[in-house]
Amino acid sequence: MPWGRPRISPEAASGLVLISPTFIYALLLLATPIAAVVLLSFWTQDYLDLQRTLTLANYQKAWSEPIYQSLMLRSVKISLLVTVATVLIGFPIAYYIAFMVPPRHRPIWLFLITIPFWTSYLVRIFLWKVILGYGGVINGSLVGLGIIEEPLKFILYNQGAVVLTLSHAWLPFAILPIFVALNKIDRSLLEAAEDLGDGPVRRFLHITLPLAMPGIVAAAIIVFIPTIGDYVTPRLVGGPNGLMIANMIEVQFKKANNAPLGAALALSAMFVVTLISLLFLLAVRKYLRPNQ
Amino acid sequence: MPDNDVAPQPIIQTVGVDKSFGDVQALRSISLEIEQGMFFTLVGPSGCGKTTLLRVMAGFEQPTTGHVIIDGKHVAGVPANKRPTNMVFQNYAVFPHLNVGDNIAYGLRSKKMAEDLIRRKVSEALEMVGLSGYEARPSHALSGGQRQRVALARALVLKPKVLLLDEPLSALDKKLREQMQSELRHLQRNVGITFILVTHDQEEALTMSDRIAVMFSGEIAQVDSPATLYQRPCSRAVAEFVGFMNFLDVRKLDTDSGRVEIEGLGTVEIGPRQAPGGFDGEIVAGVRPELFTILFDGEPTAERLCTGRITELQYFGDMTYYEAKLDGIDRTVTISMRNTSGREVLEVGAKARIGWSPESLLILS
Amino acid sequence: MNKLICHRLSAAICAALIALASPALAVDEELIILDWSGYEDPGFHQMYIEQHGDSPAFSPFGEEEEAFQKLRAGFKADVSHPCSQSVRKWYDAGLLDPLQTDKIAHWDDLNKGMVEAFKFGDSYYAMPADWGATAIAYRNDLVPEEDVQSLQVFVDPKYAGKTSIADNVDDAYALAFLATGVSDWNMATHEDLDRASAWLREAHKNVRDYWVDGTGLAQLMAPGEVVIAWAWNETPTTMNADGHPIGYNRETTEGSSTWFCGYVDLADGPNDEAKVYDFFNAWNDPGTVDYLVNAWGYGHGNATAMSMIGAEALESSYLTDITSVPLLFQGPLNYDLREAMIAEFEMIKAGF
Repeated sequence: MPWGRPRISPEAASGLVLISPTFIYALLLLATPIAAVVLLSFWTQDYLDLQRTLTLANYQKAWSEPIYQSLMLRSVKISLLVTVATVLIGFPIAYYIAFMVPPRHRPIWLFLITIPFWTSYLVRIFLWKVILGYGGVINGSLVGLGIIEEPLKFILYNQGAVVLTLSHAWLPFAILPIFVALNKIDRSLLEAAEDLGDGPVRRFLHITLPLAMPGIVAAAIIVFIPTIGDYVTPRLVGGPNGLMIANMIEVQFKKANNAPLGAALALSAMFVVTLISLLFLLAVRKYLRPNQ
Repeated sequence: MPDNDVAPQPIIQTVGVDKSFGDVQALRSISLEIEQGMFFTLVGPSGCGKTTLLRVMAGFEQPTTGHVIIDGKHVAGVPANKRPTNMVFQNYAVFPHLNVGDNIAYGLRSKKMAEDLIRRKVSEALEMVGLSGYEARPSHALSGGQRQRVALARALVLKPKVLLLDEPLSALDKKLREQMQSELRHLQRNVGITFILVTHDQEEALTMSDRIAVMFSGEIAQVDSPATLYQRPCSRAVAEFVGFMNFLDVRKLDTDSGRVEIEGLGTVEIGPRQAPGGFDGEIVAGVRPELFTILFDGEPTAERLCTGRITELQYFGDMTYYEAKLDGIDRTVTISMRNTSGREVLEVGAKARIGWSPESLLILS
Repeated sequence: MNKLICHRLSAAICAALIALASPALAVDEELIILDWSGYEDPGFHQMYIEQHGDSPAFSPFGEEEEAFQKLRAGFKADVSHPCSQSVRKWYDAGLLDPLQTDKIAHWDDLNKGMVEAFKFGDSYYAMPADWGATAIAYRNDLVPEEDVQSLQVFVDPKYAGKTSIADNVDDAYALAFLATGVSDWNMATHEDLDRASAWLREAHKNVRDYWVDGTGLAQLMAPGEVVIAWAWNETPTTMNADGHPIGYNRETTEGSSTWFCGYVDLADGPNDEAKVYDFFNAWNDPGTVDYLVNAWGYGHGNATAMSMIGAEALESSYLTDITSVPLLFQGPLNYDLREAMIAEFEMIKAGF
């Protein structure tokens, strides 16, 4: 074209016009607060005032002091356990719905899976306290049946209780993407594998599982990222040893009156989450290639 | 319906197979014998049960009653992965997460064969289907025809006793389909494995098969060679399904002498081979379009003659299809004429002398 | 006593619930009180209602730091309700106006110790309002009385996994200082703090959970999961009322503690100062004192009115004067020391 190509085609221009409200919205409500937190993390708190000299002191603290290291590690550990637990428990349920439930009953099943969302998360946490508690359902039954004399104490107010409660809360988020991935698998692929000589186990490992991988990866990411930042659950069922990094972030912003350190901890946690998620995606990338 | 001339061992046999899905009876007492090395086709309209029958043979469905014998062994309860059959699926079922080489090696690995042997076999199989060197190609980068070949290679590399093909060509465009038809035929002759093809396309069935079973609503209507099936269909439904046939009403019938009066054609004597279903039921007379002849001036006359007027025509270059209304009755017949040199093409409205022979008539019900 | 469900320490959840449930709780939009959730109880400002026809507007908070940051971020209110430890910080941040004590009825009747704790320079900055005790609450059916005669019971391995301490740095360190022999924390040095922290670390090993609010503590004690707690006097009162066998000992060898909070006049309050004092006076009214003690189980800053309540009521609320043993009065503390306490306490709770 002798007159040269226009810099922005009309389609691109109208596209930009269409996305710009969303973009501005995202910028204002997401990018701006994050930028503010980033800035805050490089300042320091001096009793009542913020010292605006930029410094890495908060990050040094966040990464070197044993308490923050340990809380971060514990949070990662709890989140990973929750992720593994939800995927391991969610997969068979999703598999059952995708392969065993007749198609006309599937909407009902999916609907039933979402029932826990009808109640507030706090109510569900308190229900777990009732179930796991000292005078709770499990202990009450076991004592009543004479199986144990003293109520078990190790089932509430520890990391296990946090993992259990979080797993229960996040299970539907794992089931749904796995179900979608399994449901999308062409049944003739499974028959083909069987036809080519596979028993159920090999077929599952070589066909079903790899093809369900995008759903499993989605489930893992969906569960892992938010749980690491959860602070209500550890606060209510975690007991003294079940606290997570988000509880410390809350403490820094409130009681400890050290918002800059809180900001540095929050960003460090974000960094750790991003890093682990990226490593995970890198490790499973071969299962995420485009399908047919 | 065993052939009587030579009797090689049937490689696959179904005995009184019934299959019901709830209230729906998909197969009704299917008894078939398919000989070793044959290209056998199950043809019928959609919903006739042909795919179900194939899946019963493959082991994906268990018959409600009756049983399947493969290579002399009863296979009741034997799952698909333990049967000496392999299948090419309608959508090919090429594993999307594996490349071409791994797709073809899949069954060999399932059998725990040594890797170097697998590599050799995969390469041979690819060569056989004309895809040499495609091992590392990701399966999502394949065209429809290539997928088809991968699916074939994947099944054939296992050297099955029987290869089952479930409408393998229906997703291809016309040209590719015709090419694959002849390739499949060649491949079958080369490997000598029994192929059982399911198709709804009667033309495909006729061109490819050694033997054809025509199925209607869960039952087998006729099993024969393509020529017999075309020339001597056993019922009006088969005749209608395989190729085209003109049907004319039977006006009078004398069962003892075999004389029938046919509208527009007059009275003829029918030999027993011309009425495979006898004279019971609602019978009609059938004539294939090519067995009518339009007589041009100077051409020899036919055994019998009638007259009519051309109402429509379709010109195909080598052939012309005419619609002609027969004088005296309110019915048109289709006539196909080869356009041999010098033969003119009649125009719509022209009068035509139409020749036919009593032997070309079939009485069908 | 149900009012006790929401009180000084209750979590932000409670505040949030109340904020959602009652956005237009008060119709008098003039005076704005930033207060602990629960303190909007009209029983506390009957006189104000009589004068002005309605309650002032309440904006609830669940944690002092939350209120502090809200005010610093520009929230305009007339009156707020920090506790002893925070008043100094709020003063330093320039949030407080000096009180015009001559406008406050019963000023001279107020508890002298508490009043003086809020004097910075020549002026007073908070009017003592409510106070309570923190001491050992125990299951008197499961714990022999002789075991709770000393605070060292919190480090006794016999009660491993059966104790609870307040998730509140002031109460927790009041316990630790008392247990390590410091009964006036204004005299405490950093060495004393280190010893207290070391003791608290020991005590941490026995802790089942740190209680956040009275309801949570009651749920721990009712089934016997926790048998010994460093608790407010409201816990035995409410739990006894529900028929639970809970004892309360404010007279251990090492002593016990009291906390107190006060009302402040916020600088730059948007409304009429006269109403602020009407509200203060309503709080100081003997009727309010009576209501606070009998309905809430808390003590009141009006010492004269408290002395007229009657020994029986005070005793049943565990609010009697204690002279036999040391009493750690949770007065304002040097901020340097308190910041160190906060940091240490979070470490200890996390197991470090």
